[in-house]
Amino acid sequence: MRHPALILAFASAALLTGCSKLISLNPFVADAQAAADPALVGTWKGTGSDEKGRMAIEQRGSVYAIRIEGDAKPIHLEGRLTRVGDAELMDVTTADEHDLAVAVHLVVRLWPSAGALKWAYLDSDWLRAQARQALATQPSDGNTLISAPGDAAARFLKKFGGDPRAYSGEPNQLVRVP
Amino acid sequence: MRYTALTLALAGAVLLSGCSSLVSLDPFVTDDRAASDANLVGVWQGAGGDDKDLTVIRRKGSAYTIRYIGDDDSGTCVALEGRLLRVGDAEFMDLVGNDKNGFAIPVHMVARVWPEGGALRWVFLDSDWLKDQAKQSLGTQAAGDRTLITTKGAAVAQFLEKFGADEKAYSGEMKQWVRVP
Repeated sequence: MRHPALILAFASAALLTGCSKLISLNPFVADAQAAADPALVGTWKGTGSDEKGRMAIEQRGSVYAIRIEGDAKPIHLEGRLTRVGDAELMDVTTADEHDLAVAVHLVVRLWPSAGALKWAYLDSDWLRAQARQALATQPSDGNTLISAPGDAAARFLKKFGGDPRAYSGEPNQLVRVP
Repeated sequence: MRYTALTLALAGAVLLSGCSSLVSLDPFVTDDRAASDANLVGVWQGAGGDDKDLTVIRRKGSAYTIRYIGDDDSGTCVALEGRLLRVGDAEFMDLVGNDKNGFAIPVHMVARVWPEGGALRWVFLDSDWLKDQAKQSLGTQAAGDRTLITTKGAAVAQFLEKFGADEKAYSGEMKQWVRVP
């Protein structure tokens, strides 16, 4: 995926940059399944001392409203949380209007703790291989796009999302802004 | 559909006047089928007297670059890439934007165009009839209030060739531009 200036502006801040390699046309978490965790609410930033980016999370009913700010135009996202075993997983999609595009969903695994929030995209090679085997998918600009309709993506997440093989690499870390 | 500032700007634009409600993940016109029409190239302005928005169309390889420049304080500028297809006497332009930010993927839409000397007429192909044909013959899903074609490959282009020239394929307002000398 190419990275426009907007995304590059946030990349150093280790915030959600929308660069998951596994995306879906349909939600991984439906409103009816959405859970809550008060520990997520607040304002977060990357761990670097010169981090300018901020991610503000508010709970609005079953949805988390996420606003990412930095040097460029703010990004507005919607998150829906679910739990699979001990894992907290959040479906994230855009809340901004994209008339020349369609919104896609991606999933992050979250590890909230006092004053810190670790997160990782669920987009490992292993998970994408499971998606290609289990669901209708197609390549999309170097990513795997799940095009299966209905709740297929949600059922897929319930089955595979809690597996530690679903993400790769070390999670990113954010710290709470007092 | 929610309307952001960008959408509002587009809604008033001569070029887009809102966007198509029939969109596709794959192109309606592929590079190997793309045609050209020298009459399209130039700077265009809405035929209405108050319309100061400009649309600049340039040729780039087998495609066209289309840049809409809004006459507003925010300096709205929307860039699109177009590919032209001829079916009989009809000309169609596949359009795709560059709105790619990781949370949304660009989609293709198609307009029928009538370039005629110093004038250019334009309408999106997204009538209810055409959407019904898409639902019957291709894989589709609802994407908000739009119909999204998810079928891959040549079937999308074949769909356009089969149904695009039918007058029932469009029902929206036809826009007319005049060439800026």
